[in-house]
Amino acid sequence: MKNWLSTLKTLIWKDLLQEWRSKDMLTAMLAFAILSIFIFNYAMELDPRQRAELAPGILWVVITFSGTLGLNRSFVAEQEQGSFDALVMAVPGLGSIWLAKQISNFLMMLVLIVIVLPIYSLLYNQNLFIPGLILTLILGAWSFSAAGTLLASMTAQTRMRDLLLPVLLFPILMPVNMAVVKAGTGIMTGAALASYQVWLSVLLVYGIIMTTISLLVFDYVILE
Amino acid sequence: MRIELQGVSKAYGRLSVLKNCNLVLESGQLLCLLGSNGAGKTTLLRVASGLLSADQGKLLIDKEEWSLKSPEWRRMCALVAHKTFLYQNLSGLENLHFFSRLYQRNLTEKDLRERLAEAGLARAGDKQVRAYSRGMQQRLTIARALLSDPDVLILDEPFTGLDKDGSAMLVHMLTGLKGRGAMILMTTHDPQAALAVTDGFVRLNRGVLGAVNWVNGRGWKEIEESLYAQGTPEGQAA
Amino acid sequence: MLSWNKKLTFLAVFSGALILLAFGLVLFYAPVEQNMGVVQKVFYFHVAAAWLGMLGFLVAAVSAVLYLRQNKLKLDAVMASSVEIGLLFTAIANFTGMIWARPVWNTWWTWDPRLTTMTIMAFTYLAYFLLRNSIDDPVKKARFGAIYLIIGFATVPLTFFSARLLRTIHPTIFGGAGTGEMAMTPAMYQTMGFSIFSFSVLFALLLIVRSRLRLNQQWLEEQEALEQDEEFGEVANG
Repeated sequence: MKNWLSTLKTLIWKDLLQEWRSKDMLTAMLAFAILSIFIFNYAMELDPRQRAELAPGILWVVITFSGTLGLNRSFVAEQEQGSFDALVMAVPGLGSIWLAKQISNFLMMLVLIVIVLPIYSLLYNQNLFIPGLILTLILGAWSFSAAGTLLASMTAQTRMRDLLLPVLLFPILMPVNMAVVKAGTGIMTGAALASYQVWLSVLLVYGIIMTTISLLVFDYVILE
Repeated sequence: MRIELQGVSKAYGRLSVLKNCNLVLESGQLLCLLGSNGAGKTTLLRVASGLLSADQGKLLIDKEEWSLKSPEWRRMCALVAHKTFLYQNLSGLENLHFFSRLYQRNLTEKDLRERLAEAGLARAGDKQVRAYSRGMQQRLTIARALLSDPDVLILDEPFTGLDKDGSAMLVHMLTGLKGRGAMILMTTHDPQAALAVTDGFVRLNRGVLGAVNWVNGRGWKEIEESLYAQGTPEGQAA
Repeated sequence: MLSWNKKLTFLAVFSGALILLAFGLVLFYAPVEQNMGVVQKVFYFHVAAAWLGMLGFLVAAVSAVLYLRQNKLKLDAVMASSVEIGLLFTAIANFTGMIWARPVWNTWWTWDPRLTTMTIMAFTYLAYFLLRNSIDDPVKKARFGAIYLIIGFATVPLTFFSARLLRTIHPTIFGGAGTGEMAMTPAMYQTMGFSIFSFSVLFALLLIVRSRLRLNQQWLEEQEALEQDEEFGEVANG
């Protein structure tokens, strides 16, 4: 158990250090996110209440598209230098390779959210720092990166790579999209918890299912 | 320790890449695998290290049967392949630190710097790997493989990219490893370079592994003659 | 090389007869529905096609799990064919649904849960083929395809549940309040059941024939690779 945790920590440390040096993922994600927020402003000249209702939807669109750009970069190092092989040989429980990647990607998404939320709030004159909304986004981010990490580990090994990930990911992600937007809208319009609570459960269930399947199936992704 | 690969076969569809290969390695031995491009050398190395699953084949360690796919076996092996396995944005030192932690070998910074020095990379240790030349990356890859003090070292054309000094360093490292009882399986396109360190040559010809040609102090010309006099796979089987 | 045989002929004739019979029942046996008129009869084929869409996905997902555990490459043909047929019938279901919806609900499309789920499933199917096309190695193609099918299938219940939470105006057949309800007589149930049954037999026929066609294609490709190997004396994946 101790070994397993130490392996996990080492793998995550490596991913975060790589990202810190190259800033590959964050640059791709932030550039896209901030540009999109500006574009959406031109698309919507609405009264405050309508803007409040739409905010979670717009935010989530921005986050998922930016997140996909980031995910595309997450396996580049392993793919180009063949490090998958080295990791497979060194790490006994292959699921921990996936879990470490998932946690690193999740942390990237959190950084994205932390940066995007204030910018959005500022530009749209909207207070988005509501605990419920933040919780929803965090749950959504975990589910997003769980599905995305597994699929990215596959698409990194194909010919189409970056182009393929959104195509594979978005149909799978539908429950998450619906849940985040519906729960977010409920929270932003001040509805009672009971009315949108079920969406949070959907997010939780999805996260658990996707994490479990990924851990079970990851061996087949990297072993031949 | 004695390692035996028995009856290893691998086919892609109906295309047979490895046909019933048998290989024996003992502690302190280094065998050099020869064969033309596409003969199946890389496939055999990947099967041996547990990265590729064979259709058939057994692994025996000291007469006890192991699974080629077991994580424990993979951990016992270290691989040096065409791709470097190195993280380009990390320094040489950080790469070594990462892999040593993965192998649960908590080498201190001092130990790691010693290993870097052995590989001739003492001054480049803190630079990012993306700044290294091909030869330097190759040396670091080899140093990385040796971090876990492996029982079995598998090398796919390790002399590629190494200059005279680098080759000498590699030969020195391999000799040292042999002295410590490791088993080494290597492929190369330059048998003369390997002559200094290998105990025997084995030829892989269209999926069939020939008998070992022990060096026994002979020169390359002699060995080459007897290797290629072994004839066609059909002739060998007869 | 698999070729047509008597059993397949029998199955083809049998399913053809069943479909004709189903047509007959729909046209002459089932009564005209009081609220919607004759156009309601599209319903019998619409539901059967939708059922086949689901069945295609189910068969593919089960084959995917079997493939991962047993590693039989033949299952890949079954997976791909099943998805292909499921995709076809999902398209038919959506099309017949639109034919029905226009006169009855005065709209081509609604964000109704069943329709939404089936359309998302169709996107997953298409993505599956894109994934397969992006991989050259047949074993990897099968493996990754299988993994994607399993993930896709696992999310269908949640997708449906979420879509249903969002909205419902799709007619509920088996009673219940709401607009767009249909009064179902026993004759209608029988026709519906028979239609679903005959379409399922058609599915089986199509699946078997399509899978055999894929296997033959694979066989041909392997044959070509073998001939190339003999000609050039090299193994493609050495």
